[in-house]
Amino acid sequence: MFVAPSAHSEGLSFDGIVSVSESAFSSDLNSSDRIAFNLVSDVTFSDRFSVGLDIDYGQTSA
Amino acid sequence: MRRFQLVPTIQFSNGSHVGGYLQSVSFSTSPFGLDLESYGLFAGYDTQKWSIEGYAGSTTLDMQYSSLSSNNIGVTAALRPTDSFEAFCRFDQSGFSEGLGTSGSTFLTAIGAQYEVQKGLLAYGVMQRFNLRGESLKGYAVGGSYDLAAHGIDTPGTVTLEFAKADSGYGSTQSQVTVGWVIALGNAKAHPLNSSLRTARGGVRTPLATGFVNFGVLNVLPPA
Repeated sequence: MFVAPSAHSEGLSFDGIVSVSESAFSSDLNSSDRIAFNLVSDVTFSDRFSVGLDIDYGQTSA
Repeated sequence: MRRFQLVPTIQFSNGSHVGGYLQSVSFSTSPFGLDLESYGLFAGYDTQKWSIEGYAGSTTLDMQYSSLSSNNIGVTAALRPTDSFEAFCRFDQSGFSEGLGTSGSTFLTAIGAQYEVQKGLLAYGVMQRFNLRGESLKGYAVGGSYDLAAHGIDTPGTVTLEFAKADSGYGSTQSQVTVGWVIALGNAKAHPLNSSLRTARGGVRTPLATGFVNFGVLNVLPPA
């Protein structure tokens, strides 16, 4: 069974989700494709404080 | 399309939290491009059965020959009557003004639900409406995700599939199919990111940024 990599130490941890996807769009007028990369993550510094980091990137081709 | 966001958050022991967000979105397509810079503050409260969060902030939108600024407010709520079911909604409003003194409003509303059919198998449905200067863009989506490892398949990750449809206020309809692969790091739980599920649950703040992420730039720009 796959075990996700982890980055946890005393008081500091990193948790996140990484996604790669492809979309196909089709409308009355045209069609296109989009490849997307998404990252949603949290760096937790203590029980009370964290900093979230999101990165979204998409490349559309007609 | 590129989007970057930093979200410092302070969590209190009673379930409440406060924080801020700094968000940058850029979109370029021939023959033009635009940039959105947003910042704001938010506060929320989470329990095992329900959660709510509200935010307020500002956005500056720079296009090739014009710019506008907006003040944003929004609220997101979720209800979890069981461990496997969640219903959620969001409402956002932007009041914007342009350089020539004109003004208007943007609204975003969304409602949806997700259900964990069995461990590692999620299904969801979402309805969204984006309203800009009286023009309404409606979006509908159904989708799901399947955790390969949870079903005995010795491959990392979760596969996702979404079917979406958007009816624009200009008489055109767009259909969309998205296939994705998601990996969770640390203690995070995998869920579809490039999806209507994420935006409808409030995963992207401000109506304009959500519109660009969700519907594409051509459908959310103000009419010329």
